[in-house]
Amino acid sequence: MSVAHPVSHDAHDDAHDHGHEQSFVSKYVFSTDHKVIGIQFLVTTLLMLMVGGALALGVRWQLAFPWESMPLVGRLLFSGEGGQISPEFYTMLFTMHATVMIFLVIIPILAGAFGNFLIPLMIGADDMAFPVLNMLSYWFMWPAIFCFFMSFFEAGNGAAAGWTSYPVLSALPQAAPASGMAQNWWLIGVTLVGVSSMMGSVNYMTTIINMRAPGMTLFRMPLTIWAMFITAILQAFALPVLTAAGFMLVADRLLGTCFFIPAGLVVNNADPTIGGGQPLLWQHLFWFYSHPAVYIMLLPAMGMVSDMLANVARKPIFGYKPMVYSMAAIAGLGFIVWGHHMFTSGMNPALGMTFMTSTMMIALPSAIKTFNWIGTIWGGKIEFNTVTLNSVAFVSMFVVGGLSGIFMAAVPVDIYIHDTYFIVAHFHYVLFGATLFGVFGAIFFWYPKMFGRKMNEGLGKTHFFLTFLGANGTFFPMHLLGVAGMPRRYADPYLHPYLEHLLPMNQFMTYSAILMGCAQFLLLFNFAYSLFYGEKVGRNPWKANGLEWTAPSPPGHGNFDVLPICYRGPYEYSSPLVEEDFLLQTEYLPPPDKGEPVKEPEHA
Amino acid sequence: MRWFWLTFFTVCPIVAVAFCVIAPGMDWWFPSEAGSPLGERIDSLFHLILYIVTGTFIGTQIAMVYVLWKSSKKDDTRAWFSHGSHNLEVIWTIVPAGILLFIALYQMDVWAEFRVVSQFPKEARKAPVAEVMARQFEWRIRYPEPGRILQIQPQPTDLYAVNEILVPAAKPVMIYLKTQDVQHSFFLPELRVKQDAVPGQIIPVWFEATKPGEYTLVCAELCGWGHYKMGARVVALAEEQFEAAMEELAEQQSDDGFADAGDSDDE
Amino acid sequence: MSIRRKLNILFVLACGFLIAGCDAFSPPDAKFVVREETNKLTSDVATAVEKELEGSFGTPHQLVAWLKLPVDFGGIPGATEESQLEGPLNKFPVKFDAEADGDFISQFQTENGSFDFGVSGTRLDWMTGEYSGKSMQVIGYDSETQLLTTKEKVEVPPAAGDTFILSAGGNLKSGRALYMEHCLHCHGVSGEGNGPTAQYLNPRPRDYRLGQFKFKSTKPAEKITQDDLGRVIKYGIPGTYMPSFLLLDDEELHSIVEYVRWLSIRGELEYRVDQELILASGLTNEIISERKADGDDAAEIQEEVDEAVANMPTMFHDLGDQLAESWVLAEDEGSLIVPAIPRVEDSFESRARGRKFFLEKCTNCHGHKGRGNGTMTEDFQKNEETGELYAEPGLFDIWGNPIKPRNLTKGLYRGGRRPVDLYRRFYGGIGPSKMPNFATTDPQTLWDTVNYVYHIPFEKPGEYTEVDREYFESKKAAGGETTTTGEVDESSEEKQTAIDSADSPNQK
Repeated sequence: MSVAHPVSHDAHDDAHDHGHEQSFVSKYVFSTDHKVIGIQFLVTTLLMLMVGGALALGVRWQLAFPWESMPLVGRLLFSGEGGQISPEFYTMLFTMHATVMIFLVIIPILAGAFGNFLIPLMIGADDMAFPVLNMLSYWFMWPAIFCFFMSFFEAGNGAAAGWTSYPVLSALPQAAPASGMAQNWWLIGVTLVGVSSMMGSVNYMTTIINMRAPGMTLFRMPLTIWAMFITAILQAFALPVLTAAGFMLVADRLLGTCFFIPAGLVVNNADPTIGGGQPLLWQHLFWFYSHPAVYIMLLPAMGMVSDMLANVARKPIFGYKPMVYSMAAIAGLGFIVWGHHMFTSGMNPALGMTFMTSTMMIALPSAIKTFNWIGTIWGGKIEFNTVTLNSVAFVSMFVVGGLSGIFMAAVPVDIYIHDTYFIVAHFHYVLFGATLFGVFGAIFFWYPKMFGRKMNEGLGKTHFFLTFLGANGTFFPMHLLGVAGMPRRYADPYLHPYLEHLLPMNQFMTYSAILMGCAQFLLLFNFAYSLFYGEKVGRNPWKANGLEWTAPSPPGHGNFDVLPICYRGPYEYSSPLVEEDFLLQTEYLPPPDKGEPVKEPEHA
Repeated sequence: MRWFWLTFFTVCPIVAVAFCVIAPGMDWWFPSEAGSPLGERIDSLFHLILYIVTGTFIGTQIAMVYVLWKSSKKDDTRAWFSHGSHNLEVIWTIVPAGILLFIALYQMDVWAEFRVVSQFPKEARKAPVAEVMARQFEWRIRYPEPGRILQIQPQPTDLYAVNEILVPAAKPVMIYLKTQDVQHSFFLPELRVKQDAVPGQIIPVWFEATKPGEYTLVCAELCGWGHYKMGARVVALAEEQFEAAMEELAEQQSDDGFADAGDSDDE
Repeated sequence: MSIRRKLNILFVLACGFLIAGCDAFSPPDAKFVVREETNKLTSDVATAVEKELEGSFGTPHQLVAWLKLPVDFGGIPGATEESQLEGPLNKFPVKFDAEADGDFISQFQTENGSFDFGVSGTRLDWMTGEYSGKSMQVIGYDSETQLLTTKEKVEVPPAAGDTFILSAGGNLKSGRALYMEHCLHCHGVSGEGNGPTAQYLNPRPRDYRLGQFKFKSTKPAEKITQDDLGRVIKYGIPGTYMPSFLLLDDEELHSIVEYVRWLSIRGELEYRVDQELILASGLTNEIISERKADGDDAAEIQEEVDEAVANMPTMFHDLGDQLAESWVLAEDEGSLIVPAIPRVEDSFESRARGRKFFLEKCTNCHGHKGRGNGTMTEDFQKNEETGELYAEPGLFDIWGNPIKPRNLTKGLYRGGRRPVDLYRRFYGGIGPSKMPNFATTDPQTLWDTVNYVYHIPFEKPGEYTEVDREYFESKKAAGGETTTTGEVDESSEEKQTAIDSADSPNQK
């Protein structure tokens, strides 16, 4: 595995060759260049982030001002009722919010945007192993977006059975208004997103295994690449299960099968179901994918943050091999913990005990990583710029998210907090607090490489500050709401006397969410503005070690001027061997006069 | 700027912890003291984890701010060129592993007691008090006639109610949880009880209300647009009052309207 | 341009956009739905109808309490005392009873002991005496002299004992708020049964606007009582999407019931006015243009239209009075269905008699075994209003929705499962579902049938074979008809004559 093959420029079948002018369409639209595809993913997912955020604001509005007229939507869809939304509309809001955020934002931005852009550059390849497949993986996103978009126009205004889409609610069209055509569109959309992901994961695995530059052994790869690699493996093994489950659900809905539908149910006074199926089967299949999926949504950010922290601290990453093994452990253990989503589901109680143990254990590698990040900063030479701030926020908020997970892992406590806002707090902390802050940092960090300009620091810090306050203001109180017993997915929790007193807190959270939402415009503005007016930079504005920083900013076709050769790991910051506080992986150091071989430090 | 951010990263965790400390006083906490013996044990496990987790949180945040403070000092020194410490890795693998394993194993018996049917209290298992049928969007209750045992099949003498479950207080009781249509979940926040109702299955659930009183019942699994409307109550009564209430229910159920010219409001 | 400058420009633009787009952010006004028939009327008349409706009932956000309607609008009742003052004056001595006094103080007294009636004052409606039917605005109150101050001055002080209601409509407003929170999305703003969720529900939510409800305890021709409505809200209608709202407290329940009745009265008033204007006066666009085409004088037609418009308030008042009367009558003791004898004891003999009655009267719709699959569910029925056959086979209710007779083997009784509830279903029928009533049948037979129906879910195969055989043999011997007529009998006098034959292929 440590032998790298020389990269040949003709190793991949391009639609063009050198000296042949490409049309605008094949250069920028249906490009097979991984960098263009990565940027396409980035722009698309940032747009989808705003869509998902808008849906979330709808949810927050209803929780803060129940049954009052909802801005825009009220006038557009519910003017007859004075702008008051209907309960089924609310179920659509949270369903589509989660769907868009998970399938159209987080997964594609990590794997599709950053994975695509960074993998070949960081390992010294000139493109992905399968560039056309890569292009397809991006363009499969658009039919998926189209399908989700179409579901908004069907009865029920969009799929509304939760992003978890549990049958029987999602399987029987008569069970909910949106369980008709809207749910069909949703299922097709998820399948298409899955196809896109699968194409990406195949590409990444092959590229990382086969196309590393000479000297780039596995244990000299940056943690970003390790993370992308492990994530790709997770995708490859877990996704087929979701696709299969999706087909079974489609079959139940359209072909009259009953994989998930038991006999004798009478819903909405329709004919009793013929049945023979088991609803719990869906939950097992769905969570078998979706639990690894949450690690798919986390590991790349972890890898990128490791790289960014080492860079801003001017120190090697603390414990490189433990970091690698931890990520592998998270991924491996991630396959045997899915049942913790189902403790109260009615499955065999013995499974509760086994899943509790494995879930507790999965907290361990995450803890190790956290300590290693702190260790990375320890004794470093750090400066508080946007990248630092976002990376530090990643670590802090990941701690909160991870620790809240321990409550849920303890089954007796989960009896109480399952399906309450405690769970919502947990996953928003890990997905927004950790992953998304990591993404913000990564955007700042690699933007110069993508576009040859730096993003504005002042705006970046302001964006961070407002987002951090907004995010914590929105998501931290959710822990308390959960302890107070406020269930999830309730359009009007204040109907129940034991929850009435939580309205002011919910209003505070909504205001924080609005602040957080508005702050994202700063990021978008910064992104767009800096494209034209950002400070122009050279190849290595951050004085970093990775291979990508030896290429021009932005890299041209083929990425590198000369074939990079890798001599060391990516974290040799402040090495005593050189005067500067960074040492590129590709820097050749001649042996000292004394004739002894250059001794590179062993990795811990 | 350095001090601004250091202060920021110090103040935020302090605010978070302070928020949690004042939370019980502000009523942003459990809806009430656990109303059942099992609930009390759940609460104690919750608090144990809370202390461990808070300690870890404070520890990591202090460590984080400390390393940030130290490393952001502007001087001429170079960063510490270290690739890690094997010993530290061992320590901070073994210690958390031990703590986690301890938490995992500590309350296996609570779980077993709650969910494994053979571990249910015998008296509850022998005489289920009601069949609770969840449906979109209410809870339909079927009781056996006073003096009879509840059967899986409805009997001509069964009594029916909706959204109100009468149970005797201070003893374990068991219900059969069913659903007529989609998944629902039987959630009693004050008693710390939750069990999903699965279509096609009859799931026995036991609980004990320590004191007489009214306890909230809400649905905790998305079941459609009315998911939030499924509020009901469990009314725990002292033994004699429970029997009297069931007799009254039986009487109301057999009301033939002849006795009084006026219609009675209550069923 | 510096980035700061650019940001500033962006900020100003954003603010401008927001302000301009504020319209998109302001809440739209809910409106009461206008009936199809009203829209068919010629425009002058239609406008007059809508204007009158708005004047008497208001809009969903500006309710009008038409005090003569038998709806508990809420408010604080009081009376005037003997006044020492001479006119013109705007201060009256008043007194409230204990309960009203408590309400008065809690609603209007501020922390420092003074009384606040809001910026524009609080409405006071005189119920009796000199100023009966008039409204005034109360702007002050002096607790020492117990003098109420109004904006308007009057020449003659009201006599001692004149009654009024202060802040009428409070109950209606709270009813509206509760209705919008709990009921609106199914039953619609106007109680027309067509809220956003309604289209997905089977059966459809109730349309209150015909003033008819299915599950009531009153005699066939009477309206539903407040108690009945309260029961429906409290216990729900099992087997439908009308859930139980058991956890509402009595006050909330009462407010909602009153609001529903108010919506029903409003809806039915519009309906009756439309019927009058269309059937009696023929003032629709269609008819008028036909008449014009036939050569009728346009001026004459216009006169008729003008007359109808001028007459509108009177029509509303008269019809309103009629409606009010019918709702008041429903609460009367005499309207209640009370069984003449206590329930006959449940025994096989009683059930056998009930079975025979069932075979005689019920199997057309409910089927031979009570599964709700009688022959009428497969025949085309005639629409009473239009005289045409319905497009689909089967039964339809008065709102035009397709309905199925109850499958009695399920043991699900939508109107309640107490013996008295079943008795009332038989005695009173279910008018809107066109289930005939058996008011003239003797109580013993009705109780026998109750016993039989209760037992249907627990019937063993072959339990009633002998009974059935007896029945059909006696029928043959008496030379009875064995064909179905395929018509649903609506009149409460006529007995149903159609009988199922034991050998007919429709038996299942």
